[in-house]
Order: sequence, then C-alpha cells, then structure tokens
Amino acid sequence: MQTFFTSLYSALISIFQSQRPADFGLYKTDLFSLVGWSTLGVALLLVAAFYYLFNSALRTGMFRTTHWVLTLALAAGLGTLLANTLSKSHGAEGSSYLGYFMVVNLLVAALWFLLFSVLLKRWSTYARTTPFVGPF
Amino acid sequence: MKGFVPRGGASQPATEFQQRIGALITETQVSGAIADRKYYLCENAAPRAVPFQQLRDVVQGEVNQAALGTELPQMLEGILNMPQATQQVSVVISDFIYGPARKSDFSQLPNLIRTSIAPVSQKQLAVAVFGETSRFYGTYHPAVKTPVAKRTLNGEKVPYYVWVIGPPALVARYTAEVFKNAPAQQAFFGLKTSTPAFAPLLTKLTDAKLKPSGGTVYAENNGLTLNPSDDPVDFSVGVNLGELPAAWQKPAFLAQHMQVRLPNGQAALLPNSVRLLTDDEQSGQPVLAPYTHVMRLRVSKLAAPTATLSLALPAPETPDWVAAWSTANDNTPAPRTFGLDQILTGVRQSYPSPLPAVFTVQLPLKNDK
Repeated sequence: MQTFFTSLYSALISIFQSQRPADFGLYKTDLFSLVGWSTLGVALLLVAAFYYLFNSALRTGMFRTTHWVLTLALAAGLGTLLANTLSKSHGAEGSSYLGYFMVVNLLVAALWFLLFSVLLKRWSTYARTTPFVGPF
Repeated sequence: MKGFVPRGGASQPATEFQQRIGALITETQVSGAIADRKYYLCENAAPRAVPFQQLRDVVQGEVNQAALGTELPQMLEGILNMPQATQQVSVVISDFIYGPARKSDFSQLPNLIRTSIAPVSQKQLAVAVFGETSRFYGTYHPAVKTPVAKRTLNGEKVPYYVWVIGPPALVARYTAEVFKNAPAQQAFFGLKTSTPAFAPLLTKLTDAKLKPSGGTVYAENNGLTLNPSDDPVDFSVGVNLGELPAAWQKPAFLAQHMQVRLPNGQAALLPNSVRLLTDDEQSGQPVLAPYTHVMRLRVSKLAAPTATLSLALPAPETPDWVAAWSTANDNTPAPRTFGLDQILTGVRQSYPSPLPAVFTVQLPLKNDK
C-alpha cells in the first residue's frame, strides 16, 4: 500500500509541480502512506456516519444531497488538514510541494468519500438513494 | 643539540626550540588525549627512559655535557624497535643532521633511512615532519666536516625537526590535538584519518545558500536520489575534518586538493564553496553541529540508475619547503639541513606511489526517474 500511496500522490502532485523537494524521502517513506491511510479512514468514517448513524440508527432527516455534499466537504477539508498537520508534525518543511500535497489530498479525500458512498449506501435505511439512485 | 637549549635567565629570552618544545612536552604531559607517555633521551646508545622533569630540565638548559649523538639511522631504528612502537605514536625531536662516519654511506642516504624505519614500510605507519629554525649557542657539528669539523655559534639560526611516527590515525590525532602550535614547515607521509563524519545537508537548514538548488534531490536510504537531467543539482555536504593537521583544515588547501569522483556521471566541487562552519551557524542550525566544514557539490550528469560519489583528500606529495631547507654542504651554518631531501626521500619511498588518500567518504546516488 505504501507504493500505491506513493505512486498515487506523487503522480497527482506532479501535475502541479514536477520538482521534488529536498525532504521528498520523508514523504516517500512516511508521509504518503500515513496521510493516505488516515484520509482513507476519515472518509470511511464519515460515510459510515452519514449512512448508518444519521440515516439508519437515527432518523435525523439529513438524507438530502445537500447534507451529503456538506459531509463530502467536511471529508475534503479534513483531508487538507491531515496532510498539513501530519506532515508538519513529522518534520516536513513548509514548501510549495506541501501546499500541492494538501490540494491533492483534498481531492483524494473527496474521491474516497464518493467511492465509499457508492459502495455502502445500499444498506442505509433512509439514504440509500443519496446522492443518486443505483448503480447497485 | 645542546646549543638549542642554553641555560637562559631573566636577561636572555628562550630560544625558539625552548619555546616550541617546552610547550610540546608540557602539552604531551598534561593532555587528556594521551593515555600514557614515556620520555627518552637518545644519547649514544639505545633510548634511555627519563622522567618528565628531567626532560624538562634538558629543554630549559640544565645539561652539563653535550650528548655525543647517535647516527640518525641507528637512532630511528632504536626508537622504532622499542616494544609497542608500531602501535603508539613516537615523537622524535632532533636536528636530524646526518653525516655518516663511513664515507661510503653518503651514496645511500635514502636507502639507509628507509631501512632504519622499516616498520614504517611494513606496517604503513605515518610520518609527520615539522621543521623550524632556532637560535643556537655553542658547538655546532656539521655533517660535512671540511674545512672545519665544528664551529661555535652564538645565536645563529639552524633547523631542528620534530618527527611524529605511528599508526596514521594516531599521528593525525596527535598532530591535531597535542601539537597545536606546530611550526609552518610541515610534511606528512602516509597520514590517514579515521573516516570523518560526513553527510549531505538537504533539510532543516535556514541559510538559503546551504539549501539544495537546481534539479530534484532528496535523501533516501542513506544516500541521495537525484535527477540532474534538466538542471544540474547543487547541494551542500557537511564533513568533520577536526582530525586533519591545522594547515590542511584551511579552506584554500581543501578547495585545491579535495577530489570528487562519480563514475557513470559528472560531479564537481563548486569553486569557493569550501568553508569552516561558525559556532553561530552550528547553534542556529543543529543539523550542522557534527561538522567542521561545509562544501558544495554539483552533480551535472548521472548516466546509471545508481552510482557512488566519492569525496577524497589525496595525500599531497613532499612539500616545496623541503628542497629549500636542504643543502649538500652544511659546513657553513645556515637554516638548511644536510641531505634533508634525501632523508625524506627515504621516508617517501616507504609508501606506494601515489600516496594513499588521507580519507575517502562515499555517498550512494540513485537516479530519480
């Protein structure tokens, strides 16, 4: 998975900036997989909370696409935050590369959120058609 | 030798010999870098062990009779034949005037010296030679005995030498830590330091001039991954050269002699990039703390997927001052020594040609494709 996250992030970041920073080794060995797993976990948690907590266990009425989009935005925001704080706390230096990493992780978090939504929504009691019907 | 150590007094300043050697034996006696020390006088037989106080007395002039003196090869042989001589540092202080008693020996000076220091060849010990002139008062015995066999000098300057012989890293350490006030005339043979602390400096730097520039470069698996294909990669390296003799720690010397090699690629030391680190820089940027020097390298080509960059200090050959301090006739006293060049040729021949590098450090490189 470390290789997967490294290829995913470095490929996406290289769209913005091909030059790798002097502390890229740190990204490669620690940050990409750490941030990658955390982002994946946060997206999964939010999806589970949206479909199974607020729209199965509880009947909150927050099943609309707007609610879903807001939760997605929260996942994306947390993705940015995670990329920043985890990198800084592990010794990454402030650089344009870190900035693009944050941008990319925003997209990646949103992507995971969308993916998990599609996979998991069918077992929700009240939100099985949010944000759209199907495909399963 | 007695002439170097006049019994002075308040009115007569100490000779250069007395100042320098007095400081050297004192440092040797008190320095924490030395585990054990023994002192010997080489008169006319095997070295005779003496307590420190007696040696100090000799240096300050409390000698009643001039030693007859041993011929140089016998003296060196006696010193290197002492037990443990090849595992320890021997410091030889002498005028190194070698006028063989047998005339036929004159044709073989380098070989006689080389034979007398055979352990240097066999165990590849290092020899450091320091030369200085000192005022001399008393009877001077030149190597060339005609027209006069001896003269009385009254303060003319003649040379004396300090030789430090021993395992290369110990000689380097003794020179750097004990013989701190060494004279300017220095020659080193076979000197090697232990591998110095060395690392590329990429991150945690605040000084923009130290940060890497150009193409991609980052640290990975104890080496560097870089991509010089678009832009040459410049980066700084830190190295601890505290074990080198003071003269070799000078940035100008290092810039001139340091050698960068990169098989399957192209790398160079950037001009004017070697410098000493200041205390301020080290405390402000803790990543610099283990090093005494920084220098900047440029990798402009890397053809293979992996390569090893090596940074070495090749040993300089016999320095120019040796020729200037040598003479073929020392009958008239001058700041020159009879056959010094031949004596040091004998030392030089104890080592392979070219001399082995003083140190080499290596840095694995990987191409960032």
